[in-house]
This record gives sequence, structure tokens and C-alpha cells, in this order.
Amino acid sequence: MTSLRAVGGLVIAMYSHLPKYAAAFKTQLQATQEYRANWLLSILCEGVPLLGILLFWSALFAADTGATDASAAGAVYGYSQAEVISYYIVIRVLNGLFPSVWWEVGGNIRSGHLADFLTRPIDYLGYYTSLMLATSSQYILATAGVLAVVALWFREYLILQTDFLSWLLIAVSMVLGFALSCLVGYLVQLLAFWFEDTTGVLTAQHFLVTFASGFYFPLDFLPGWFHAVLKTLPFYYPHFFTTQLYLGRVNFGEALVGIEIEVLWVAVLVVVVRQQWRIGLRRFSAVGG
Amino acid sequence: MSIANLLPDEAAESIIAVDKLKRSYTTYHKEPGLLNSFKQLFRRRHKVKVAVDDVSFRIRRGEFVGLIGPNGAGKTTLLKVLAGVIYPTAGAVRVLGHSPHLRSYEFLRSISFVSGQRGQLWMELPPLDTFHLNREIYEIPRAQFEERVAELSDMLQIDDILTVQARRLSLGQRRRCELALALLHDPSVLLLDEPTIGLDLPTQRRVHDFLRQYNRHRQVTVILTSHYMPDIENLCPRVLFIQNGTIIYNGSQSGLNRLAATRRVSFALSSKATEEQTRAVTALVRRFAVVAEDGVSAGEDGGQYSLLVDGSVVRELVAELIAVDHLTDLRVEAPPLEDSIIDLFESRGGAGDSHV
Amino acid sequence: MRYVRMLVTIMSASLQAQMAFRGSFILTCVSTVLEVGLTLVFFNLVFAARPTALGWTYQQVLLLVGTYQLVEGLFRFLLAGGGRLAQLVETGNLDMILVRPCNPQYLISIGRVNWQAVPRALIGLTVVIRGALAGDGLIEALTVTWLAAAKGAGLYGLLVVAAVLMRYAVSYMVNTAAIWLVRVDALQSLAAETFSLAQYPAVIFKRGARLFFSFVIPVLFVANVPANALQSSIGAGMVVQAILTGSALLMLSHWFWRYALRKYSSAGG
Repeated sequence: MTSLRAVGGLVIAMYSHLPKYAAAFKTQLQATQEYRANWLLSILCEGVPLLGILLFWSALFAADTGATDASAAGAVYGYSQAEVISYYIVIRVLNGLFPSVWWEVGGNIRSGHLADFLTRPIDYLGYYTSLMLATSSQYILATAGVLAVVALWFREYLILQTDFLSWLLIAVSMVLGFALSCLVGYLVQLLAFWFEDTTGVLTAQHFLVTFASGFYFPLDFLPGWFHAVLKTLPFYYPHFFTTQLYLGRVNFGEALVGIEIEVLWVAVLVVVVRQQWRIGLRRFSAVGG
Repeated sequence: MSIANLLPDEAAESIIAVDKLKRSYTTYHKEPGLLNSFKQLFRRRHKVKVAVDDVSFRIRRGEFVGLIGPNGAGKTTLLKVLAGVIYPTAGAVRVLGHSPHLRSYEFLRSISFVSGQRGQLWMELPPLDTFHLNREIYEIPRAQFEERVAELSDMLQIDDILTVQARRLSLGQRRRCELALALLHDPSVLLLDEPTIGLDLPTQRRVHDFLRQYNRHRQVTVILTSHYMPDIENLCPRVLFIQNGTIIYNGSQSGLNRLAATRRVSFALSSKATEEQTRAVTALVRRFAVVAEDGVSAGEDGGQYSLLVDGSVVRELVAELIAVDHLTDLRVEAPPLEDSIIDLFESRGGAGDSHV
Repeated sequence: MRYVRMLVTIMSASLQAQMAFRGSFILTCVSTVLEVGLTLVFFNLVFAARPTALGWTYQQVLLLVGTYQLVEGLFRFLLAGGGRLAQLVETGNLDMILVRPCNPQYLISIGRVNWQAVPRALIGLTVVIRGALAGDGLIEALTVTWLAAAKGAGLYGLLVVAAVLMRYAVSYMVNTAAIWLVRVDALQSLAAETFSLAQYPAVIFKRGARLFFSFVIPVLFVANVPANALQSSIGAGMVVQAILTGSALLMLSHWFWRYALRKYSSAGG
């Protein structure tokens, strides 16, 4: 189980560097609050598109003149109004906790730190993770208010999961999802670096990854084959799969399968990241020494 | 806003008239730290700074004036007021018969503002393309435009780089193109904010030669701010010295020197001098020096001395020094403007920033 | 007249300047296609399950999505120079613009023509044409008379121009706030997100929201109104409203800008 050891090693290494990360965390928070109006408004930014889509769905269901698909009356692709509305809210919460696409977190990943990136990859991954944690918690602070308002507004359609077992599964999926999200984001940054590109590649894949994570609409809207393909990808799990667990749309058997796939992807990506370290180190020492 | 207090002929002659100009503004400041970041969200502390205070002067057509002073003294603020970018808080400003802050078309068309730190050339294009853009903005007739381009590129020696992408040019080449750009529309008043900043010495000299030539031939009034003393020394027969927002000197460059009236006295004391003689010389230096520079350089050849002395006592000092044995290479010079200014600070007891 | 010549000169200069970045250009095209494509996939899926959801058909929604992208594309192409304002203030380069004998709002707004936004406008137009020809509305008008079709298209063009100007006015007001707020990218994002609501049929908004989105932030004029024009279901009153709202917003943005400039010039620049 070299992968397990690798993950363990990662965790220990990160833990030992905590003070440094805490500093990065604090600076990140401070820097964003400097421009107060800007900060307050970025909170609102979350609310507008969410409200838009929810209003759209509410109007759609309200004007419902009958279903054309064979599923339950009034449902769209098997989603009731409550399920659709809850879906969008929950998936936004998850997207905030661990974004599907990490942009230039703090804006400083590319330039200053690439040397660190290659020589002290553990440090760098830890640093990266702490930045992401900072961004996550900022997001929570900032958008909790907006999400609460929206949730209240649509409270009659908000589904609340109460089953303990489901929550257990959700918790497991979230932890794995966070790890997956970090790894995927890290590798995407890598990709951009190896391609010596800037915003081009990142922008293009931004839409695809966000789409594949279910942010724009529930992935089971799509035709069966398309959905099946997406299920094989790591992007499917941190947000969409976890949301499905929350909504109770997955039975226990399917849930286990899903979690297994999540674990598998984490393992695979850890190996890939380790491989990249070796290559990078070799390349770096071959050049500079 | 009146220029009534000007004598009629003065008013007619001067193309720039400033009276009791005052300019102040508020700034916000924040303490460092996370807690204060939060506090700042709710309440901010501000203070009022007076950038320019009760400033008055006249400038005539064709003059070349230097605006000097320490950082934050108000030089750039004053220049911006003359350009109409900033409003006066109080007082009257008249340039070419216009109130600059009204920003009328005729006024803006007759002035040019060049900032050494803020280039106007499009980096991805050859300078000539930016010239064409300016041609549209300033509505320069085609014939005149071609003529000006030819003339300026000849004077600035930029003929061969006009069609090279600006990004590929050196800073010096770009700066010369910026100057040409600024003069295409034949302005009557040229305002230069640190025009030679970042340039190497040869390029500085070329820019100086050009500006001097241009000012003389076209009778263009030039106002220049700079931290580079050579800019002022080589170009500005007239100098306005600003410190803490007020003009403490308004006159000729040589007058400034005379006012500061320091002289640099330097000499060498050979090692053959006795200890007593050395002590006497050291005492003399201490007594007369305004600013004592390099002291004794220990060595076999004896000490080299150099000191700034107030003009009124130079004679006295020289008389005493001549009497000293083994003293050679006695020289008395008018020091560069820079040193006069340092002296000016210290004699006025100003706690201003050290200049340079 | 010289303002037109200036625009042409800047357009040509910008094109030359941006020609160097061909790779980035292609990628922008790709990401725009993805963005629009995803929106269309969504609506396609929804309308597959509910062919007449909200009283609209998929083809009609194409008009909305396409018009929104057309308006957004034209705006970003010609009039989005205001986005530089924050940077101009910070670097002090705003002074250099103020010193020129030209309306600074104009100079800033068209200052950097962005050719990379042209694909967005073209894609939008393509979607509109697809929607207009494939479904009801225009095709019916076509079969009726050429005149009706021309009238629809003409009104559409006029309303699109009005929409672009409205989008510009709101955006420029946001940018003007940079003189106080220094950084306005969040506010800009908020404006952009709000305008993206234009892609939804107006019926999803209740009365109050509809009023707000007509007169305060004219989201509905961006896509819904022009789309209606294409379907010949629009009255003269709506056209007049569009023109009036557009003019009012332009004047407001200009007034606000003048006010901000006075503050800027009083604040030491």
C-alpha cells in the first residue's frame, strides 16, 4: 500500500509546516479585506446567478402543464421541484468548500513559487493547500449570509437530510472530495505550467471541469451514455456525488460503489503527483544542481 | 479668481500667472494587522495634507524654468494644477490666458504634459502609429503632421526607429519618441515631469540638447521638474525651489548659488606637517566648515581636505590657510547646485527629506 | 467627426496590437463556444422535458441566449475600455488622458478596442439566426411579407444598439466608482452576472423585479425586448421605452463621470 504511506507522509509533512501555512492563511485573509467594498460585493456575486436559476426553476414548475417524460408527474428528469432547488443550493455550498477549479489562488502561485514547486514539492503542496483552506473559509464567511437568505427564501423547497447513515456517507465523501479537489486543482496548475501557458488553457478547461462537476445543472439530465462517461471522471465526485448522497437519491449499494471510485481516484492521483515530483526533481537537478 | 493684482504690463507679458495657490487633500491611513483590517471596514482615520500653500509666481514666454525640491514638496502637484488635471483649493491660476481646470479645447491643444514615468506609446505598435493616433486627437492637418514628424525625428534622431515596435526599443529610444509625440501638435507650453528618469548619461545629454535647442528655436515655454541636478543645471536659467508646498526661492540658478553662497574649499596637507599644525588645520576646518566632508585620509602623502564654507567667510579662511606650512593645492570652487540645496535645508533648519 | 476617425484609428491599432496573440485568440474563441454551448445544452435538456415551458419554445430561447451574447460581445468589443479606469487611476495615467483635448470618457471607453470579443458577438448572432429561422416568429413573418421581416430585423438592430449602450452605461458607472473604491472588479462581476440573467424569459421575474430590471438595471432590454421585436410581438411603446431608458442611462453615466472627475481633480489626482 505505497499509496497509503504516501498519503500518510503527505499529511505528516503538511502538519509539520502548519505555522507557515497559518501565516499564509492570515495574509490571504487580510489582503482581500483591504478593499472593503470589493469584498462585500463579491458576496453578492454569488447570490445573483443562484437566484436566477432558482427563479427559473420555480417559474417552470409553477407553470407546469404536464410532463412529457414517463417519470413521476411534475418531475423533470426525475427531479421534483424541491430536489432541483435543494440541488443547486447544496452544490454551491460544496463548490465553495472546495472549488472545482482553483484559479491563481492569491495570484502568486505561478511566478514566485515555481522554484519551490520543483525543489520542495511537499512544502509547495502544503502551502497550496493552506491557501485553498484560506479561500474556502473566506468563502464560507462571505457567502454564508447570501446562502442563508436564499435558503430561507426557498425554505419550503429545501430538503434536509436527517438519516445518520447518509450523513456518514456524506462526511466520507466530503473528506475524499476535498482531497480529490486539491489534487485535481494541483494537477491542473501543473498542466498549465508544463504547457507554458497562462489563462488560455485554464479558461478553456474551467468550463469543462465546472460542467463535469455538476455546477451548471444536474448531470443525470444528460443522456445515459454521457452520464456514464462523466461518472468515470474524478470531477463527478466532490460535488455532484456528494449532493446526490445528500438528496437521498442514491441507494446504499450505489453509494458504496461511488465512494470506492472516489478512493480509487485519490489513490491514482496521489501516485501521479508523486511521479510528477520525481520527474520535476530530476529535471530540476539536471539543469541547475 | 482674479489677476487684478498684476501690473498691466506684467499681466500681458507672463503666460503663466499663479496667485496664492493652495492645494490640499485628505488621505486615509490604516494600521497594520488583522484586527485593524476589520476595524477599517467600519471606520477610517483621515488626515488633511496641504500639498501647495500660498504659491505665487509669473513665467514669461520662452522661459525655461526648473521646479525643484524634495520628494513630496508639491512639485508634481503644481505641475498638474498648471495642466488642469487638479483643481486649486484656493487662489488663481492662469496659463495662456485660460484657467487650466476648465480644460477648454484651445487650452489643452496648446499645452503638452510629459511624464517620464508614464509613457503614452502603445507598446505593441511602432511609435509612428501612436503618432497617427495623436494626430487624430489633436486634429493636426496632414501636411503639418508630416512636417513635424520629419523635423522632430531629425532633431531627436529617431528616424530609423519610428517603424520599430515600441516594445523592442530601449528606454532611451522610447523616451525620445515620447518627446516627439508630445510636440507633434506644436504646443506653446511644455510641462515635463521627471523627463530623464531612468535614462543613461548619454541619452540624458541628448535629451538636454534637444530641449535646449527646441526651447530656443521655438520660444516654447518649458517647466520641468526633476531630481536630477544635471537637468536643472544644464537647462534651467530660472529655478523655483519648493519645500513643504511653499516656494522658498524663485529666481535665477546662479542666484540660488549666490544665495546659498557656499564655496567648496579643498586643499592638501602634506605628511611633513607637524602635529601642532595638523591640529590647527583641523580646528580651522571645524570652525569654518558648513558641512565637512571627507576628513583625513591616513596615508603617507598626508591628508586631503574638502569642505563647504559660507561665502562671506571664505576670504578669512583662505587667509588663514595660506599661512599654514606644507599646505598645497588650495582651491576654491562654486559647488554644484545640489550642495547648495543641502546647505539651504540645513541653514533654514528644515527637517526635509535629504535631497537626491 | 474626428471622434469617428479616432475610433477607426484605435480599432486598427488594437487589431494590429492583438494580432500578435493569435493563440490566445483561438482559446478565447474556444472558451466562448464552450460557454454558450453549455448554456444551450442546459436549455435544450430542459425544453426536451418541457417543450413549452413558461410559454416559450427552445427556438425562442435561442433568440434570448443569442441576443444576450450579441449585445455582450458588441459591448466588450467597442466600449469596454472603462475597465482600465481602475488601473489608470492607480498608475496615475488618468492624468495623461485628462491632459488631452478630447472627451476623456470617450477616450477611455474606446481606448482599447477588444477584437477578441468579436467571436462572442458572431456566435450570438449565429444563435439568433438559428433561432429565428428554425422556429416560429421570423419564419412566419418571412412567409407573410418581406416587409414585416425587414421591419422586425430593423427594430431588432435598433434595440440591440440601445441594449449595448445601456450595458455600457451601467458598466461605465461601475468603473467610475473606481475613483473612490480603487478596486471595482467585484462590482463589475456583479453587473456582468446581473446582465447574464437576460438569458432567461422575462416571465420568471415577478412584477417588482421586472420593473427593476426594466428601468434600474435594464436587463430585460438586453435580450427579451429585442427578441420580442424579432417575433413581431412588440409595440411601438416598448421601442420608445428602450430609447428613453438608454438615453437616460447614458446621461446618468455621463453626469456621474463628470462628478467623479471633479472629485478626482479635487483629491489631488
